Parts: sequence; C-alpha cells; structure tokens
Amino acid sequence: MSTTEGPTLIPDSAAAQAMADREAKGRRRRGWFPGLGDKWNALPRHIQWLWLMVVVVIAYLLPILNPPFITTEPGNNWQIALAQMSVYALVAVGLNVVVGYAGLLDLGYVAFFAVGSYTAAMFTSPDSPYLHIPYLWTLPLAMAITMFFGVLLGVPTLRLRGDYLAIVTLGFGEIVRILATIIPAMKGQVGFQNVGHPPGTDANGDPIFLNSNGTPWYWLTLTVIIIVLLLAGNLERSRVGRAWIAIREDEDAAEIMGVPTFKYKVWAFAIGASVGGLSGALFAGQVGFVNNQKFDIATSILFLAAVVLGGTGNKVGAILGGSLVAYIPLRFTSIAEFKYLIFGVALVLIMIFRSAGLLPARQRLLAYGRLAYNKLKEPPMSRRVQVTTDGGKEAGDE
Amino acid sequence: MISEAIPSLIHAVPMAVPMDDTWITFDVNSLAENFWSSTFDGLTFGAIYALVALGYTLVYGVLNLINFAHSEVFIVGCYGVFFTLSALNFGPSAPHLPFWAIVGNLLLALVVAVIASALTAVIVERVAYKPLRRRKAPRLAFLITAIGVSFAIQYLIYWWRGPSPEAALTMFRPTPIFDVFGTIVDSQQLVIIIAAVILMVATDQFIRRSKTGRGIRAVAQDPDTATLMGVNKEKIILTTFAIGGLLAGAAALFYVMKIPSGVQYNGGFILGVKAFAAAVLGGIGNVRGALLGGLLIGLIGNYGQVLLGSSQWTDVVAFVVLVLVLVVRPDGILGTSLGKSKA
Amino acid sequence: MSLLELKNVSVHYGRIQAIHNMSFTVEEGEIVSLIGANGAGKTTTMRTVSGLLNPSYGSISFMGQDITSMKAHIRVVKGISQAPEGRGIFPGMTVMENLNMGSYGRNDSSGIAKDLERVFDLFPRLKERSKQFGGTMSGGEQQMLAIGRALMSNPKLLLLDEPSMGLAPQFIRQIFKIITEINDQGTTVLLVEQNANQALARSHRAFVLETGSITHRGTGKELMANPAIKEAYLGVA
Repeated sequence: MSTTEGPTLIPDSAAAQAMADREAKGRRRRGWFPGLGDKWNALPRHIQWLWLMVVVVIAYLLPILNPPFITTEPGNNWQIALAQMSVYALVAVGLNVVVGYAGLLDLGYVAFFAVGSYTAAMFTSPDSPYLHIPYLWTLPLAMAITMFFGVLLGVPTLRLRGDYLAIVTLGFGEIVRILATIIPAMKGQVGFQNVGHPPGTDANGDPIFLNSNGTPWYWLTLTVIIIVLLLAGNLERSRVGRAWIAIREDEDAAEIMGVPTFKYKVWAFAIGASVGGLSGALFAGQVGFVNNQKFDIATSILFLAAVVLGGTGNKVGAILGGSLVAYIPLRFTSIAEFKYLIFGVALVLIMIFRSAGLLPARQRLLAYGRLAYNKLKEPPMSRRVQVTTDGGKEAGDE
Repeated sequence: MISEAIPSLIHAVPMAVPMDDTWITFDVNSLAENFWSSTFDGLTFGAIYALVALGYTLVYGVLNLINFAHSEVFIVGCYGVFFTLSALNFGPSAPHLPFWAIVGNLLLALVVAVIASALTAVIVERVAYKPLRRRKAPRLAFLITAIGVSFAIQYLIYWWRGPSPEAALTMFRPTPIFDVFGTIVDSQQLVIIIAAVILMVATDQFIRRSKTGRGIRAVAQDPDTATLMGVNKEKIILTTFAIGGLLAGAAALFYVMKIPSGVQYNGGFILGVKAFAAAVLGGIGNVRGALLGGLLIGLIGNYGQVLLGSSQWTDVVAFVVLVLVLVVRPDGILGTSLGKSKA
Repeated sequence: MSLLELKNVSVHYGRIQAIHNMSFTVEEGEIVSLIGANGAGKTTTMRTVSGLLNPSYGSISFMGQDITSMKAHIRVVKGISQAPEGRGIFPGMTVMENLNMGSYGRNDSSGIAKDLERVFDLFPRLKERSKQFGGTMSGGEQQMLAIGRALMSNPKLLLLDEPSMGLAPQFIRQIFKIITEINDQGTTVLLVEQNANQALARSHRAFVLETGSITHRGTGKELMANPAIKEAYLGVA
C-alpha cells in the first residue's frame, strides 16, 4: 500500500455501515467460540492457572479414562495412540516455532525428526556397534545434534528469500532419507531394533517403559510438552519472540528497525530443529525400532498440516493440530489410508477459507503481554487501528 | 577415501559413522571412461529438466511463487502419455510399427499429455491460487497452499493407481545415429534434445516478441502498472500457467521415452526439485537461464552418479548444487531478467 | 454530462479510511488539479479513478457510464490512462517496448503509429533513446516516458500522479508546459501535485485535499488568491 496515504481514525457516516459490516465479518472469522478468548484473557491470573491445572490433570488421566467414543479402540490401542499423538503434538509445537513464530516455511522438518530418532537408536540399540549410553541421555544429545544440523542448514540458506528456504528444506528432507539408505552404518531398511528406554521396573521386575505399553511414554512426552510449552511461552513474550513476529510480519522493516533478522531466524530454525530431534528420540524409544522407511517427505507435510490446522503461531493450536493429525487416522481406520490426501486437501482448504486455523493466534498483541492486550482492548476504535494489517481492498481480481 | 571435495552435508551424518567405510567412493576411472556417454545422457536429462524448469520460472516470474504443484502438473502429463500409448498397444518391448506410425502415435500422446498438463496447471491456479490473491493472502499462505496442492494431487493419483510404478512403455528402439569421440549418440537422445531445444527457443521468442509475451513480462516487472496499460492481469497469469503446463506435458513425453517405467504417483517430486534447482541455477524468471540451468543440472547429476557409483547420488548431488548456487549466486548464472529483482 | 464524475466516494485500506465521501467532476477539455500534503489521499483518489482500488462506497461515472466496478484494464480501453506515481517504468523493457505497452489494449495499427508520432513530437528525447532500457534512464526521462506511454492508449482522460516529483526545477517547468500542450491538443487532464504553484497556475479548476476530504474548490486563480491556501501550500506567508 502506498505509504504516503495518511490513515484516519474518524469514519464518516456514509462509510460507517460498510465498516461495521467488515468488523462483523472479521469477528466471525476469529474463532469457533467468539468472545471466549477475550473472556479468558479477562480472567485473573490465578483462576487461569486453576483452569489450566484441571486441563493438565485430565490430560494425564486420559490413558486411564479411555473415554468412550473418543477412544481409538478397538482398531488401535488407546494408550499407544495417545503416545503417538503426544509425539505429533510435540513435533507441531517445535515446527510452530519455525513456521508460526518466525514465518519460515520448513518443508523438511521430518529430517530433524529422523536425526533425533537415529541418534536415540544408534546410541542405545544393540544393533548398533558404536558407543552405548543410557536412553534418557540421548534426549539432550538428540537436541544438541539436531540443533547443530539446524544451524548447518540454516546458516547458508536463511539469508535467502523466504521461499527458497521452502525448496531447500524440502530437498534436505529427501536427502536425509536417501543418505539413511545408502550409508551402510545407518542400516537402511534393516534399521535398529530394541532402541533403549528409560530405566525403572514395576513390582514384578518388568521394565515400566515397554514398547507395547503406551501409558508411561505418553506421560513422559506430555511432561516434556509441558516443559517445552512453558519455555516456548516465555520465548514468545521475550525479545526473541518479538523479533520473530517482526520478521514474520515484515522482514525488511524489522531489519531497518535494527532487528538482526538473520541471527533470530537461525535461532528459530535451531530451536525448532532441536524440538524436532527431541520428539524423534521419544518416538524412537516408544516404537523401539528405527529404519529409513519412516521419514519421507509425506510425513513432513503431515507435520506442516498439523501446525496449519491448529492455527499457525498458536502453541495450543499446535498441540491440538498435532494430536488431531495423529488421532484421525487412528480413530477412523477406514479413512487411514487416505490420510495424506485428506491432509493435503485440508492444507489448501484451510489456507483459502480459514487461514488462521482452528485456534487463531492473537500474536500481534500477545507479543506485548497479557496486560497490554487487555489495555488495548478497552477503547475499541483505537484497537481496531492497532491490529489492522490487512491490505487495501484492491480491484483487478475478479 | 574421504577427500576435501565432499560436501559438508555428508560430514554431518551422526558421528558414529566410521570414516573408512566404503559407502562413498570416487571412481575417477569410471568417469573418464564414460565421460562422453554420461555427457550425452546428462544433456538428455538436462533438456527434460529445462522444459519443466520453464514452468517454475514463468510462474515465479509473474507471481513470485514457487509452484510446488508443477511437479504434479508434469506427472499428470506422464499419465497422459501412459494411457494414450497403452491404449495404442505400446508395451514393454519396442513396437513393430512403421516409422510414420510411431511418429503419429507419439504426436497423439504428446497432444494428450500437453492438454492434460496444461489443464491441470490452469485448474490449480483457478482453484487454489486465485482465491488467495483475491484475499491478498500473505506469501506463506501461497507456499503452504502450493505444497498442499502438490501433495493432494500426488495422493489422489496414489489412491487411484496405487503405489507401484505403471508398466513400462517403450516407444521405439534407440538406434545409433552418429559417433562422437568413440561414443554413440542414439536417436532417442537426439530426438529429446532437439525437440526440447526447439520448444525452448519457441518459448523464448514468444515471451520476447509476442504481445502476450510482452504482457507476461509487464506483469512480472510491475503488475499494477501493467494493469494501467490495459493488461488483463488475471488472463496473463492464467496464460502463464497454461504455457508452463504445456511445456511440462512435452517434458512428460520425453521423460517416459527416456525412463519407460518412470510413471508413478510420486515420480514428479524429485524431478521437480531438480527442475527448480535448474531454474534457480540459470536465474529464476529467466527463460534462457532455465535452458542453461537444466542442461547443467543434468550434466552435474550424471557426472556425480558415475563418479560416486550409485543413481541415488544424482539427487544428492543436484541438491548440494542447489544449495551452493543459492549461497554463492542467488540470482543464478544469467540473473533474473523476466521478473523484477525483488528481495 | 461531465467527462468524469465521482459521487460520495469513500475508500478504505483494510479498516482504515483514506477517502471520505468525496464528490467532484472533471469536464471535457479541462486541466483539473488535486493538491494537498502527503497522506491527504491524492494518490488514493487517482488509483480509485484508474481502477486499482475499489471504492467501498459511492459511484464513479465516465462519459455518462457507471464504471464503479469496472476493471482497471478495461477502463484503459474506455479512455482513462494513468502515468502512475513513481512513474512505473518497466525497467527490463526498452523505451520502445514501454511505449508499446501503452497501446496494449489497442488493435488499430494506423492509430497507434499516429500516436507514436505524436509522442515523439512531444518528447524528441524518447525517439533518440528508443532502444535504451527503461531502468537506465534519468528521472526526467522516465517521467517523459511515463507520460508518453500513457498517451499511447489515446486517452480521453489522462491521469498524472505527481509528474514533478523528484525532478530538477527546469524539468518541472518543461513537464508542465508539455501538460498544457497535451491539453491543448484535446486531452482532458486530471493532475495530482504537491507543487501547488505550478499546478494551480496551469489548471482550469482545482481541489484541495486534506485528510481524505476536499476542503477547498475553485478555479486555479481563485485558489491561488485564497490566503489560507497561500499559507499552507504556496509557501507565501
């Protein structure tokens, strides 16, 4: 839009109606439960925490509750389904940092997931001839190694135009899979059996963490998710988070305002990668078997679908999206074989009809913190102007 | 065995990999022996990449969008060739038909492929991208849509045709035509390279000289001003997608000619990445750059394959080349001429 | 019947209103100026007339025909042609190709040849440089090219958005002389300018825009004599 045109805050009577219509339309697009977000933000902090505790407790109880209708049984074991959903949710939280916060389209996220899985497998599986370490140590190790990969891929490519990054990451995802096939040490399709698990035995002396029992894995992953969410929430509201949002909204402007955009893009990429590696290591432990068949580009696109479905830039949305992408094929087994088709179409439909996803993010204002958000909400006119970033209504398109 | 020349990517494999393993070898003798044959083969593949690259480059020129669905536009063309030739009783072994009958059949397959691809491209633009343009969606939304469309078409084909490749189709038996440095150039290589070059020169002239071509360049350089000149932007965009699809359909015929069993639901994916690499290498938005980039990617990939001893390395090599090009010369060898240089 | 008539036009960028309830007419044969400060809505008005923006309220008619929802590229064929703000030269095209773009919507080759001659008469410099790339020309030459290109569609109404922007003073006088000449040849001109002195002196009528509304209207002479305008726009206390 032309920057020489001065915006004005006072509408004339003639255009007031048109404006009210737009407003109403905009509101309708905001969420499934209009006003709920506002009500939530108006609650006192301790009440919010109370509600969150209830949600968390329910989340921990899910494997025991095994609620009817929602459960994936008899088609798929509910506890294992939960474990897989939680891994997908964690992946989506990590990818959301890259795509949602910083606006970098990473189409090869599965590569980081794969590197994390292989790290866990190669350092714990008896099939691996190399150094063996306890499973839990592989979690930070996987994060470190994938972060290294993230920086390695990010440094040359993040200086480029955003859309080149998409194709480079797409290629990278495929290359990691090919390398896993042609490098003998990665054991190709044979893969690694009996990947390690956390220590501990039950009363009978059997290990608690069995591949056949999803519950402990689910609890472990859920705990990891909560920790990551707390950290991500802090990051989001920090200097780094504001820088990411500035980069996503207008990279050139951010650069001019003195944000070292390249540095923060590498940060986003590296942090996202490390969460991807972490989820890969958890996945490898839960499944207990890693080979080259699980890390194709299609999975990468599923991850992206999870973030977009949940609501790009919203971490709660990412959890919802990740869980749903894993849950739907497990619950509705008759459509499981079409899942790629379904989520491919879903990506297009969401972008066209509901680009904010299921849980739209209130990113711009949350960057300033909750108090600022509530403050700005009070005088409705000025808020409208503050949050407006839509372009002008342009003609020429039919 | 590891030399300095290995790209850093390979070092980045988890550290437990013993470096004396034989997973990577440099067979320089093999490359020297097969240099000319891999050159001609590389040029043949390069010509195919270049035709597909034109589709990426034209759409990128006018919309600044990586049309990920272009690889599926191409694969739909491959299916067009497959179904046409299957219906004409072509099979795994070369047909016993007179020369002109084969030419006629192949031309028919070409027409079907071109229509199928162009139609796919146009439908994708109308159904997926146009609504986003009308809503002034951010760039990220276009890219996500593009990948979603690509994915959806791939798995639509998967759902319909299953995971395995279609039966092989041999169009004709390659016959030796002439001899260069002791290496035979066969009729297949010659047909593909000549036809592709003719198509590319025609495209280049069309963009440079015709009125529609001027419209395409105007939209690429400044869409708003182009509109003020009386250019119907939407029509130009649609035409651009159609031209890209048309060339992808032609590429599909040559691809199936070269790789008879290459028709598979995800067969376009890697080829698409390579073609895009070709477009970037030559200078995205630049029609001549696509030709140059395509031929180079074809050559580099083939040399890499012979040198490293496995066909899977072609993809790795092409990818590493893409990253290197982006880092060293993001505007490509010939620069971006069709599009504006926009950061 | 006025050549161009805007009735109660309002324009929004997203939820921000840039033009409020604006009405004015341009009669055939006139030079009409819109003057005002940065951000007053001048360019928005121009883009609305040429069709790059759609009004959220109100109507626009051209030669008695309602064109409110007509697409920009069709308005060009109907006879509205714009030399856009910032000139909008296609940098990768030669001067000749740029001029050819101006006649994109036409098919009468004899008419095009005649208009090309007219443009070369007005701007001999363009003829000398016809093979040079648009992006390599100086600001003044680009402005000539932008106006010449806009004339190539043989418009009834020529929209000029800040033709003097960024030009040296002698170029500014020359450009305004040529604008008068174009007008004398029978083309109606709607002009947006910050250079109020030159614009008012050359215009039959003018409007002053402030924050998206017309605050003063009158003949060029009347407005030049208005003390408030003198102070705000003409740099005389």
